[in-house]
Amino acid sequence: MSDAAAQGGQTPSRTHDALAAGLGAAGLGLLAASPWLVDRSGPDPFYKGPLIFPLIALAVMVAGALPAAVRLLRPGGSWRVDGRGLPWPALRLFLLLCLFPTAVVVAGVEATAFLFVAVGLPLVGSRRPLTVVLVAALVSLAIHLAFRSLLDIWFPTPLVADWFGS
Amino acid sequence: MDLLFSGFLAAFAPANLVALVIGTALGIVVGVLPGLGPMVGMVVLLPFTFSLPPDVALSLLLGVFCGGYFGGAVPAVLLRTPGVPSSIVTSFDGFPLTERGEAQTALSAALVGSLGGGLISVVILVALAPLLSRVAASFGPPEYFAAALFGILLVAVSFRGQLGRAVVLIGLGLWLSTVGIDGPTLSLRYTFGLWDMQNGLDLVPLVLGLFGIGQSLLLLEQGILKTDRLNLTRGTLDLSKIVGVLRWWRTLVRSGVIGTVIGLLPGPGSVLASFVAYDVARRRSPTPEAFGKGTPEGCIAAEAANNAVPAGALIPLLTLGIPGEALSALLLGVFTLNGIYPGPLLLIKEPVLISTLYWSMLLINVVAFVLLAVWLRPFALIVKVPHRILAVCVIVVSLVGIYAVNTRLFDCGVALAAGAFGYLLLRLGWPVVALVMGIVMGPIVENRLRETLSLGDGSPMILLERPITVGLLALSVLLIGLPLWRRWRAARVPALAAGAKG
Repeated sequence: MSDAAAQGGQTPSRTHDALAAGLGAAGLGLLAASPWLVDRSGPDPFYKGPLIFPLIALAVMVAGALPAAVRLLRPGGSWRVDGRGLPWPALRLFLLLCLFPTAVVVAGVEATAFLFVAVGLPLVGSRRPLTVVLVAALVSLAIHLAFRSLLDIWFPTPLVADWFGS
Repeated sequence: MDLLFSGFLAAFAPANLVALVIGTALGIVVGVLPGLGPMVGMVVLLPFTFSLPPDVALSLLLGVFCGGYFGGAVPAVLLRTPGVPSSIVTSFDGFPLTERGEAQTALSAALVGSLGGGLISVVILVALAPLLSRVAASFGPPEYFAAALFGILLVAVSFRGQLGRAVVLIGLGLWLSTVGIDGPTLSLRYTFGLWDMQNGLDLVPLVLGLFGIGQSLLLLEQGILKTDRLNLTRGTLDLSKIVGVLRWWRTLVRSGVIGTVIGLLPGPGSVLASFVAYDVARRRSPTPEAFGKGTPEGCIAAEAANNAVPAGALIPLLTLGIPGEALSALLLGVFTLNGIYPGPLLLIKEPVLISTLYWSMLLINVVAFVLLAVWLRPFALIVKVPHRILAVCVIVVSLVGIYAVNTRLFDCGVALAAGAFGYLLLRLGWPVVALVMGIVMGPIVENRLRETLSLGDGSPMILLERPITVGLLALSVLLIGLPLWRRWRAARVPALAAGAKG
């Protein structure tokens, strides 16, 4: 459901309420577990200590989620969000991106950028091979120029280079 | 005077000029592209700023900030698709003008409005910042805490239709800012036994994930713009049209002032500024019936107001250290990452930097206007770049940028998690800005709260012993109480009427 609808006084989608209630529940869990998740061994009194502010922050979170949780308990309402269904292209690309940290260690920054653009574009629906390769090469080149040549940023040597080096 | 001159020299230094022009050009590009916007531009550039001096880094980001608002007007006028949300108001009159074959007039009005609004707001910033700074110099921790609290409340209340969601996200942001080693006590908080969590969740991966990745994933499926037509009669802006629209200078000045004042307030932002200025212009116009049907005055009002917001938002940021909205919250992050802490002492401690900032803001507005006036067609054609290519490239550059900051893979993981969460929130239309505000404001509020409680030996009653804090707290109570009272009354009146009928 759109903001406009929400502002217009219609019943908010239960998906919104479920998310808010979920976040609130997570906040409540953290609130309850905070004394064990925060090191309180220091000599400071509570008001100067490390626990007071997280407790306030989590309490704010829980308080904000309460109305949604109450609405969720009542019957009725729709779970419909925007009618666009599951975001397959975004999901495919995101799953590919989860490999990014591993790839960057193995292949280095430029090669990873090339690889991810070259694989990512077809995954989201770009079908022209020449465009894909060209864009991937341009992004890789731009990253090399910007980060290595211009900003002189040091990146760890990729494992591939080590393997071939040895 | 010396300081102004020093700032002038620093602003015109080659490195600053290059950063300013690049930032502004990039800002126009992301502003022209619906679905991206200046926030994405700023977060993608964030990793690049760490190796730059603070003044150059700020010029680069401010260029994106202001350039984005300039660029947003172009698709709003030509295609009735606002590049940035506030440009929707520009399209009310800009697009009808384009349909009548007067795109040049509409664009001239929008860009002159942007330039005028930007310049007026910088003048107000220069005049008002020292005054506010002098007032803020008498602030102690309780006043800062109350001001920060008031700022956060304003942000929450500005999302009227989704107050609960905004509060949840502000709370989440405040909590996320506490993860890692606590500075004053060196205690571990919420690290869950993970070594990498001890450094805390860095602002860059969080914000880049939320906006750079989240927004790009959303762009993939929305494919906001598909167009083959761009009604431009020539490649550059027509000078005669620019001169022609100057007859609405009163509207321009008024809207610039309105935009700056609204920019001053945390929360409302550029959309409200555009709407208010447009409405005021319509009421004051001798031809109010022309509004909405294609009058250049409407474009001037909307653009002058939304482009005045960045400088307006800088006033509380520089003098109180309280950002007005997400973009200035990000600037606050850049300040603190460079060891500069905005507040009343900033104008005394870093006068040259502030002076450079003023000059840079002026220059950015002029540069953005000139860039768009000269290369109008190339910038307008950017909307034809396929959204898929754009989204994938932004995400890959964002991830490389995050990795470049500390070469920590953990940061990439944080960004990916933030990206997925950001996508979910953006798709559901939740106010992600509230989350960013919470993350940025967290350390400020926490430190001020601890200092305040220390001053009061643990008692929060110290807040009620100082006139400024009492005033700010009273305003905060009003801010929360008034809408609740109104809602209660609105619910009670029909109930009473029904009771009387019965």
